[in-house]
Amino acid sequence: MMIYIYDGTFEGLLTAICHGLRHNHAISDITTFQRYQPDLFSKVVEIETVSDRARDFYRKLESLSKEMTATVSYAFLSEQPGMEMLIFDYLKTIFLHGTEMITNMNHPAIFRLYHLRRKVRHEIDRYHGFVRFRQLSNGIFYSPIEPDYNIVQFLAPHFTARFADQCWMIHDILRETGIFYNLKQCVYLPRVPRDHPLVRPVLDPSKENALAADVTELKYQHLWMRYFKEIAIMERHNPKVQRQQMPRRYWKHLIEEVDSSIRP
Amino acid sequence: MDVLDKLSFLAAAAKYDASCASSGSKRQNTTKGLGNASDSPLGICHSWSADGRCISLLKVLFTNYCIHDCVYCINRRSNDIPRATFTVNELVDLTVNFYRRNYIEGLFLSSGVVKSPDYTMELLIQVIRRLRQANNFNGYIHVKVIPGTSRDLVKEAGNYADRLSVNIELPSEQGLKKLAPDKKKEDILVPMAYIGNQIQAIQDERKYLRSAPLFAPAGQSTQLIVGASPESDFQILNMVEKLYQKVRLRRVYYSAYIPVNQKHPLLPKGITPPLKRENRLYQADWLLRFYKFKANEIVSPDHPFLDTELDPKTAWALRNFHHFPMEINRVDYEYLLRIPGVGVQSAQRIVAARRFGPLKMTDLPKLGVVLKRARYFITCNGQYLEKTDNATLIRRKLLTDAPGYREVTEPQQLTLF
Ligand code: SF4
Repeated sequence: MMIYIYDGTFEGLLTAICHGLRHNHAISDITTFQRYQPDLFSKVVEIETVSDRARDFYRKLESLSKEMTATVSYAFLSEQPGMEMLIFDYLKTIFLHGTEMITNMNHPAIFRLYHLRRKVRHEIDRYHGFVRFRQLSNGIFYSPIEPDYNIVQFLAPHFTARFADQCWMIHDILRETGIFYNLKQCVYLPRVPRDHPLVRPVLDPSKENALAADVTELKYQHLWMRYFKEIAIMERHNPKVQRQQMPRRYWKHLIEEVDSSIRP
Repeated sequence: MDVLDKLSFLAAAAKYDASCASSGSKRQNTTKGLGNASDSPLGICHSWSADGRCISLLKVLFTNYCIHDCVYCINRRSNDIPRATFTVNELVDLTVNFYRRNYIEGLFLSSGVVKSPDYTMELLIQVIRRLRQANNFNGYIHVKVIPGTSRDLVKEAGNYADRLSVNIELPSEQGLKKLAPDKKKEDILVPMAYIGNQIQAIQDERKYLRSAPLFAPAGQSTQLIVGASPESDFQILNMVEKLYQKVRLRRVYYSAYIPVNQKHPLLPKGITPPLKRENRLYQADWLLRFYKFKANEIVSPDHPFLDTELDPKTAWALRNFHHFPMEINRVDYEYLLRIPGVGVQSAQRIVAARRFGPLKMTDLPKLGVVLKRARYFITCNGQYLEKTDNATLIRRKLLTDAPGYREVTEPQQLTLF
């Protein structure tokens, strides 16, 4: 049995999988240098990332099926432990049986990756709704998010198409990454610290920061909070569904006060 | 009165309208302006209010003053409630600024009737024209057509709106006469038919001329109030089926009647909103639109009301037990759709998966089949999971078995759109 170790990047993983498929290795695990725990019985192969090979492999996958490539990308950004092997098994199955297999949900390797993709996709769809921009003093519309999966890049197409005439930024404050739109294009920011002075008034609205908050911005926030309250029909009070659709972990960065809406 | 107060009154006055869908329009942001209408089939929900309903649009009335006196309506002339009216500017500003902050998908604008239907409609058009033209706004707009509006104004509204709706509210002419004495059947049906034709005409035109102006690209919808008047589900669903066929309705919304005007002698007394019935109607509506059912298969003069205990598909299956069991590995797609516990998606997956080899019972949950319900109605390779030929017994089992029959008990449409 073999364990592949790679550098944790998407290119690294593609290099590894390409290697594994080419040599038809019996791989028991693919893991990162960071997560790897030595064990006595497996043969370890350290994969050196080769960008060109990764890119060629990716293009090949894309030419076979866009659907399949999307599934693989989503699964990777799920950051779930073990997703590497799921991706490997998925691709192996498809290479073995042909691309028609992609629709065969009855095959365990296909189903597992599809299932993971669905969870990631679901969170992306949720954030299309849950992003809440605040206009900062410099005019930029800014939204913090704390997603379960590493999805911030996947939000770019939707928000770029929609908000073409305002500068905006979506900030994953857990991973300290972001995307920024500057009226021309949307760029990925690999490192945006949580304590950047510009965003501090939003992330830490206490103390002196509150004073700096923009009056116009606060006006719209209040209007929205009020709307949120008024639109509920109390004869149909149903916090259970509300919470199913909008789990508690997403409330923190919404403007509306979900918590206090629960009591009738 | 400041905008905050106006928003409070005019949102509270609009909340009884069930529709908040923002899907199915293809308006794009080609102008580098603000917004687009989502092409996702389910639309985008931005929040959920405490009643578990999706918040997608800024849903408000332009004004809650009204010259009419519809018995079921909170805004009726004779009610003593605070009244407010937005200015065009206020409403445009609210919409744009909510939208820029990603609170909403767009605007759902309705209104009480001031002076006349045309006068009111003209005000609504001012708002949406300003949004589209002066603000380069491409977000979703749903506008209610005030019953009795003239054709030219309906046409103009359709040029700016993504969706138009004329609410039927009461499912029969008698109901209308009794509870909405100022509205005539024609005031509702004539604009509806016109919108239907216009949508069709523009669609045809755009096949040849891509630049032809849009007309309500997300189609038209309507709403029915359930439980304020005595119509049966048989009457309702037959009417709805005709509407889907004849005026190209995209959707019908059902709104459980909430007794806002408790004391009125013409209204049913002391009822709680018939949420269960509303839910069953949505399920039946689903069967009409996506499962190729006919209204008279779901309800009949002998069974004029939907079963409240069982969903309409299961109820149909038990009444037509001679069609079962169905063999999962053999029957066509249309028949798969008829099996309780098998949805559109799982039927599609079954068809795709069984090409690779026969399916076993244990494969079905993975494909999305709810075996708790499907088990009495299917075989896999000739094998039953549970053989019972007695429909009455199955009914009892579905309702009482311990893990038994747990279907979605919440009004489903509200979480879907
Ligand atoms: S016309 Fe509309 S707003 Fe006026 S009372 Fe009737 S239902 Fe209510």
